[in-house]
Amino acid sequence: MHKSLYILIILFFIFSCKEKVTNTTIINALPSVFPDYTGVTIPYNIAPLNFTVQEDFEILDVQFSGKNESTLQIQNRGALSIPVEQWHDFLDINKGDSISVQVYLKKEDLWYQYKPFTLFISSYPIDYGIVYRLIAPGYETYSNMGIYERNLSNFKQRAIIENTQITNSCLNCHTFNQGNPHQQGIHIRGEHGATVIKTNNQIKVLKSKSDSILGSIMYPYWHPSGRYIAYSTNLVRQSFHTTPNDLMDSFDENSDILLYDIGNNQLICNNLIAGKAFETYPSFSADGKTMYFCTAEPRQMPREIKTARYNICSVPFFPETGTFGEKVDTLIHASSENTSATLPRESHNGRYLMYTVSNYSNFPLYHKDSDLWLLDLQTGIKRALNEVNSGYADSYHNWSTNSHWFVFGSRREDGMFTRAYIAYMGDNGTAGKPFLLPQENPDEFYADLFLSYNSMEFVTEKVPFDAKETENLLMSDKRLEMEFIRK
Amino acid sequence: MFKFSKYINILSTLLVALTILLFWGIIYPHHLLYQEQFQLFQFSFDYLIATLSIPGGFADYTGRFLTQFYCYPWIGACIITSLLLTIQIFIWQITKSLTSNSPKFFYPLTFIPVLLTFHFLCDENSMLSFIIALLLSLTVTLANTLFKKSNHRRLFELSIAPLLFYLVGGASVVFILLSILYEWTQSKKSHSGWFRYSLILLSIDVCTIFFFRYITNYPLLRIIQGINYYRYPVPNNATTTIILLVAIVPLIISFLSRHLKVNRLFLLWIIFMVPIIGTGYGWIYQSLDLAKEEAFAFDYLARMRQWTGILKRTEEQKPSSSMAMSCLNLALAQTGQLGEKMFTYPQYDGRESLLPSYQRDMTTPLYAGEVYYHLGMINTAQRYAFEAMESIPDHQKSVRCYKRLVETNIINGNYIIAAKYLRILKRTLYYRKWALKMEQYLNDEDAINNHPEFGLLRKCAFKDDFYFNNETQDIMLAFLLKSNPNNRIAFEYLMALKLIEKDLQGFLNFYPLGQEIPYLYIPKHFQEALIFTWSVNQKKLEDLPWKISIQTIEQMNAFASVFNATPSENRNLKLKKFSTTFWYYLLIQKKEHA
Repeated sequence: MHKSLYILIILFFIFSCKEKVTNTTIINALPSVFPDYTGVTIPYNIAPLNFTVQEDFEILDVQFSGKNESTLQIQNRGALSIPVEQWHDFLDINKGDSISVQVYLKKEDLWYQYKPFTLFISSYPIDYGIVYRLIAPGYETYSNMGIYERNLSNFKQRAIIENTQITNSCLNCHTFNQGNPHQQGIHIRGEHGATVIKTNNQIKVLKSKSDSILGSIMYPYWHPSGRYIAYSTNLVRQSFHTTPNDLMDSFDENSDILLYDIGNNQLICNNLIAGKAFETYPSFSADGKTMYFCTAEPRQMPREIKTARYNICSVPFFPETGTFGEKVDTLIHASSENTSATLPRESHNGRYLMYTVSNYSNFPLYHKDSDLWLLDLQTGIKRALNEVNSGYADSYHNWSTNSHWFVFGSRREDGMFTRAYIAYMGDNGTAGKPFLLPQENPDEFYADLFLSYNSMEFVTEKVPFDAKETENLLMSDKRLEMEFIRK
Repeated sequence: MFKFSKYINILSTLLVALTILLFWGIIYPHHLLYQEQFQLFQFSFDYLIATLSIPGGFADYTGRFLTQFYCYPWIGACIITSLLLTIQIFIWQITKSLTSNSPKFFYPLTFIPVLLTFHFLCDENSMLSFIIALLLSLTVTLANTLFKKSNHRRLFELSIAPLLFYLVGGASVVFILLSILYEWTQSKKSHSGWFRYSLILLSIDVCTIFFFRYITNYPLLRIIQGINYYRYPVPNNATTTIILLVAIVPLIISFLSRHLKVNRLFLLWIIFMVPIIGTGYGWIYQSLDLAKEEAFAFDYLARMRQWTGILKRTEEQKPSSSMAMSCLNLALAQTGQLGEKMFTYPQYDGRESLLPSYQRDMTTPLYAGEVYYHLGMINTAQRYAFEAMESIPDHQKSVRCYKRLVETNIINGNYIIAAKYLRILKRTLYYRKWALKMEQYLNDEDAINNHPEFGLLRKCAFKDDFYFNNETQDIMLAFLLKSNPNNRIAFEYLMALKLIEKDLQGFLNFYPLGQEIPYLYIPKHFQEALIFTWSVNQKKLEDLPWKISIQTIEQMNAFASVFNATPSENRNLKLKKFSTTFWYYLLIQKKEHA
């Protein structure tokens, strides 16, 4: 017994002891780290930025150096694995400053020292977590999918609801009112489909379809007051390309915008936002006095898809009465530049409007050319967020509650699987280099993940969602029918 | 008499085992191959953990591990036989432990649950997971009988019940029921104590079910019935019946051996054995779906690119389903015989036999995808592979689809994606070698272009981008020919499509697209269509712009004279000798099927 205990202790020391980095050969280049965290700006409360170096090596030694001679040294025989607590302690010390990351690799008994890179530690925190859907980036069919919450300070992911609970269902369009998990909505499609709205402790299970509207309600956006949710109703279709450059397109054959009055259970239709044109992707300004939406001239789809170009418009909204102003303004006239602007999202401080620009149509993730753009609402200057964009689709962005961070979906890794990227937004309107959502072992994790991140939304705390209760409500097939009115 | 009965029991087990083995090896081997393609068993820790994350996960893992060997049907047949044989032997051993009387002559009754399980497995959507779950439950039950002291046994039962539920899922109720039964036989003094204990054991099982209901995202009924015993997430009466029978048969035998006093015991054995085996086999025979087996065989041969194998198989039996016909037409096209022989076979399902349309299921896109892949419509083949995989109801991934996705991504030059799929395939037992071979093609344009299949398909690919449209397949095939005028398969499919649709004007319009294909002579059915249109328009045969053979002209004249001379109600019979011609398909076959 004693003998084996000694052996165990010796083995523990052998494997836990750090090897001293000596006689290094200097490589005058940055290490090829995955994920590429070089030069990124991160919130001080983010999960450890574990990474690997895309080379064959025996030992990876990383030294983080910050102010006041604070250091953090991690040595691993595989990918970098930083203890969560040590990482947070270190970032706390260096809040608002930058840290240097020195990478050493041991290869064939020799140590190599690479050029150090910098991480900027912002003093603006990021929200508690993000909620997203994980789904196969497929065509029409899907197997397992679910809506998950990820704590951004560590690596914990929790299923909020999965489609194993409601057989053959599609879960989508989860949304929160400015990151408040106590005001949330979710759509479930399929045999037991419904729109579930949760406000504080009340759950409403709505019938998503109505004869008075085009199809199901979708693409929700909460009014900041929590009284309304703007939806669009879209006749969504898909088409499939025949050449390798693009695989598929999704488009609307028609679409309108509707406003749901939660308290009165009324679905409000207004000709300004539900006219002959295609209207979609509604959202509200931070003060709740303006509704943004995208609109395009009607087209014969899919024949005229390449000329279907959306502009971003705004219309005054009066929350007291649930009515709209009389005049619609075109905020981004993208069609005049032969582009299509979609997904307007105003920052919660009311300063910026971020949106996606692609060559045509309204499903930017299927278009490699999709990029994020930023409109400064104070100066009226708009620009492509070149510091963030890639050669692949970048889209479906959302702001953190303090408006200093935004998350977006990007296919930059491989052109197919959408990953969640987070980027910093500076006070001067310049964004930081985006970084891939940290994982415990990002190389293995992303290589083995055959699902795409979809519709990322920030949340300020853990989402109180009783999946079993929701399942029971959905399976009961009792649905609240919305009253359709015109205003 | 004793020895005789002992040997005859062993012999009967061996005979049943032999029939099961031969059944899967000879009659239903393609059902095994069909099953194997809808899973992707990986030798990786993550796969193990993911599989073990639900109740029944261990049975699923073991079942999937064994199912991967189905790619060699005789190994699959041996696996199924061994499992069913072991189940029968274990039921017998448990039965013996329940009664002190000699139950030997009731041995045939133990075949009832086995035959039911055998029947269950004939459904291609039945999962081996259930059989493993059953077997493990019986194993634990048998182990339980080894405890002679009541306290030890009860402690074992109470502690193993939740663990067994976690390992095998709902089938663990077999253990609960048999343990309760066993406790009854052991409770000589007080049955009230037995009753109280049974309630405790059942309560533990119920608590376990609710515990897993709480921690996993599955409906209660699926947790009770076994999450992955059947591919479709629907209530399955077969598994419930088998579970109940496995528990009831020992009880019945125990009862009969105590109360049925007959002298002629061997006669009793015969009385049980003959109807059980007779009814069981009769029932299995009745429910066999040989058309499905045939379709799976054609699909397997198409998947393995065994075109001559398909043609050889049709010599024995003409295909009787769209799936088989689609594979046969592809084989004919691959061997340059579509225009020669397509009407030798019953093209009764129209264009679905040629270019099957997309269905939201896991099978149709697979065989339809084979056609699009070999035509050079790589994006469509990729989409169909993806859709088929995502349609697998138990959310497993498919080795066949992964392989196809590797191929399409290599052809399309998406090497990062191809590498991602290869990474997973390298973790499998049978596909690792293939994956390593394919890995050499990544980023190697020359190797891909020189590959006999990839290179050819790259040459066949569309040059102009447009949207796939199932309604305008003729236009798409014409575009494919425009991209590569030497794409013989595309030309033959286009012509065949027009013939199958009986669109002669379309046939004539598209026919010139094949002018660059170096035919030695015009394929037979194309000649038949050409001369038919010419004759219908009452033009002179001397003015024919195409080289039509004398035989075809003579045959058409013969057909026309019989057709014109025969009243319509007798034509089918009189024109039977022309049944392999396009004219017969055009003018007669529709009426036949109507």
